[in-house]
Amino acid sequence: MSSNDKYDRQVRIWGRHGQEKLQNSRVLLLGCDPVGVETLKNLVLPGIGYVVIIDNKLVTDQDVENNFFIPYDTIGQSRAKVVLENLLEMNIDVKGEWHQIDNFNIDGQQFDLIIANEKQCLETKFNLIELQTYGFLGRVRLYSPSCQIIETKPMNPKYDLRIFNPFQELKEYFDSIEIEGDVDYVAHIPYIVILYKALQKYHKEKGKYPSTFQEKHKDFMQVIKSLCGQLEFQYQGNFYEAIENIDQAFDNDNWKNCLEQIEIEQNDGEGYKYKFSTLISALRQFVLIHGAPPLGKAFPDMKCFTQTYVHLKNNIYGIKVEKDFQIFKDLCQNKVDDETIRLFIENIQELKTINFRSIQQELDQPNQVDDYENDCYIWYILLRSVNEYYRINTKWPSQNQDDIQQLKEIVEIQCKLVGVDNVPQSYIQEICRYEGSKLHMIASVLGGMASQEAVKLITNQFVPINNTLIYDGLKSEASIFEF
Amino acid sequence: MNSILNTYSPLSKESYNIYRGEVMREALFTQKVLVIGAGGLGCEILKCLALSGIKEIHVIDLDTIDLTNLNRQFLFRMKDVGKYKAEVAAEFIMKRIPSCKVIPYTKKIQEFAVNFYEEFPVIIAGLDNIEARRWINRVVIQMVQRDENDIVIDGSRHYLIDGGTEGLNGQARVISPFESACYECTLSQLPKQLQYQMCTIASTPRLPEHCIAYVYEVLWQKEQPDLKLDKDNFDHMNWIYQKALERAKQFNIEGVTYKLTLGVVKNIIPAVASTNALIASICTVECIKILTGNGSQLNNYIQWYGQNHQTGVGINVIQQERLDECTECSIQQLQIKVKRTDQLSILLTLLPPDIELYCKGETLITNNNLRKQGFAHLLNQTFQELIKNNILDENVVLKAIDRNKTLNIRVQYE
Repeated sequence: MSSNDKYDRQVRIWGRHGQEKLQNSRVLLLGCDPVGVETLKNLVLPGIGYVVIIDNKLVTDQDVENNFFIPYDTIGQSRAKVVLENLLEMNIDVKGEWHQIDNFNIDGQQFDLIIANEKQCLETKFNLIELQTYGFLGRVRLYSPSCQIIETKPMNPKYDLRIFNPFQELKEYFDSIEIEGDVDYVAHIPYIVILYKALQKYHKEKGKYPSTFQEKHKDFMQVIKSLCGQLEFQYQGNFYEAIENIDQAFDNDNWKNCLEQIEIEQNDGEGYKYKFSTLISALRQFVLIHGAPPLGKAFPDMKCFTQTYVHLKNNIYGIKVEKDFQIFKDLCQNKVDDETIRLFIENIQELKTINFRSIQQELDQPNQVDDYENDCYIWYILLRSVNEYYRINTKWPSQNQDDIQQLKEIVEIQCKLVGVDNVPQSYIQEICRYEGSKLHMIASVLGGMASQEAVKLITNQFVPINNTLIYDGLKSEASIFEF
Repeated sequence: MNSILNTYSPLSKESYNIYRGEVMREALFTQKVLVIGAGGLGCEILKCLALSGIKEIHVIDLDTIDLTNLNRQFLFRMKDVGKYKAEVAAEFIMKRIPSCKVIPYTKKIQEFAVNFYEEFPVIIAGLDNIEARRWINRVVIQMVQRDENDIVIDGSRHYLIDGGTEGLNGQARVISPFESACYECTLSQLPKQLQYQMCTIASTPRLPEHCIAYVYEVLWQKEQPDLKLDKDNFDHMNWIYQKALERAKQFNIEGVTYKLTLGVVKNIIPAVASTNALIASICTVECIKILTGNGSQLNNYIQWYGQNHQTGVGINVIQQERLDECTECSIQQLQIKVKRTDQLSILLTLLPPDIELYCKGETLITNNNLRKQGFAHLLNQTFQELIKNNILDENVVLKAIDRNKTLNIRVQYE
């Protein structure tokens, strides 16, 4: 029973199949700075499978002050060991190992995610989240070698109801209904029928279907209202539903554009990438032959009689769904299992693929961004600058005049690289306050944000950030960039 | 923490730069913070505050620990199920971070007098219901004192930081009484609760949710009117589930499950560690900035959407507007002093003429000719008597409607 399940509250977000992916996942943490540990905390709690923690340092009193998983009485012990023990103690379902070494050799191992503190990992064939906190500032950088999402789970999912292009059985059903009769009957005509009839009436009067915004939202709306006859339309739930869902009467080019933009590689073999390519190829073929994608099961509630609803859902749409499934399945040539095929069909309207720029590419030359007024962009340039300063001096810049001067010169170069004039002096002075400090509360904010993205990458649900989030705790703002 | 307590900051408040250094450190380490709620947000807030230099935290929560809390309320373990959240949380934090003192309370927030709240310059609320939020919002506003020139006295302004989460989304706000919008100002902006229409539930159900709602809202009352529904009782919930299944069968509707039944009846909100962590931590950052003067305060509301189809996530910072007619923090404030032995009628001389006066929604004085007779007897009673008979609540700000304006009347009883 779900009430006995400690994961109940989160399974309601990503489903049993998502939870399974989490529970079978292997996550690698490089470095025990607070931000990486906080991110991992939010993954251990929901029950990831296996954790590997790498850190070459021993616990100091600095660690005790800003790291929740390093208790006050562990000074001198191995950081990796202490953090692992205190993380795993939170959830007995999770297992793991730790290593106190400088460089970890991942050859031959599989990881569903690597969490790296400050560029400890540049090139990888695994999903990667790179994190940095610096005083009140924070940066999250995502990378995935291959990001192809079926379950993007938009907040407002689009239904495919074929109102403007009904299949035969649906057309027969629509044509069999007239919007006339006693008040109770008319008030329970499903809104999809109303929209269909309105389209027909519009076409009859104007010789074409609505296409511009004005036609769709003003003129067409009037036609819908006119079908109401003697009823006050705003009191009839179904006519109101028709207006609210007016966009369902028109073709939506969105998914067609998405489908066109999806790039797949021809490849053979097993694994998710291969399945995805097969599905996309099959979909393109299906659309070519039948003029529309296979129909999904999703069917919204609508004000009408129960019998009508059940008949529409099960007999008319439901049978078509099964028919299309069989045809589509054949096109997949046994290369994909039924469950994945059904999941794919349900999400056809909102598929997404993302090509991430690698971290090396960003280091060499970040993408130009037009957001010059944005403080977060300034902080990004400054974070790049202090990182460069550290690379040269093996220490962070302080508010000492010489340090500030040297940093200024680095900032100038970075600004040129991204095509910006300069950054305000006060910001340079501000960032020199921090001297590499890692505040727990900022690490905790980033840990929350990064762990949400981590779950997206592991479960392959929802759309992840492409590719950077900058958090400005000083001003309470955050922004997304693609660098 | 030293980096943000000692060093010069061109992007922080004047007060920070004046007091930075030893004074600032001492001040921070002696401030007390109140946390309301020791659940999903509360656990995270306690951890963050303890590791941000706060040495004394008070936490209020009357709830006990449930199994379904363990996926995110990380201060609790399996063995703690059934115990009080506030107590277990306090114990865990103090064991892990001995330099921090955490004092737990397992009472309703309404059971504390206003002077309890006066000890805390900042109150952080991780509540899960509107009524409690409105209540603490009211308290924070009422604590504000003004001098003879009607200017707010420094130090009497207590800040309320309020956070909430739902699935991958969340929001946080900083309420600065009489400066920012208060919770009441924005009440109308709350999302409407999902309600199923009764005609649908009763006559034309279509979704499995309709079947469950029918059993929960109609059938229970019909078939078991004397039994009070306990949503945590498995037998009760199973009864609803079975009856919902029957109804669904009747109408040929699929999809009724025990899990869905729980979701509909208990109005379960999905919850996960990551969202709680980020919202709670944002609240803590705001708290520390208020206490130290670092940076600039959130003004005043931030929304986080962890689920955005275009950009992955969405972040909005909004400055909510104060309502002129807000019944809690509207600018129209009057403070008056009366003796407990005075009669209510004295207010007729102290207040503008022809006002309607209310205490907690109940009429005290009315100008309406049709109703005047009904309340005339109150005018001769003393404040002492009215308080004793529960007609007047001395802790409550009285509301007066003067033509179309709302006035808040703070009465000091001597």
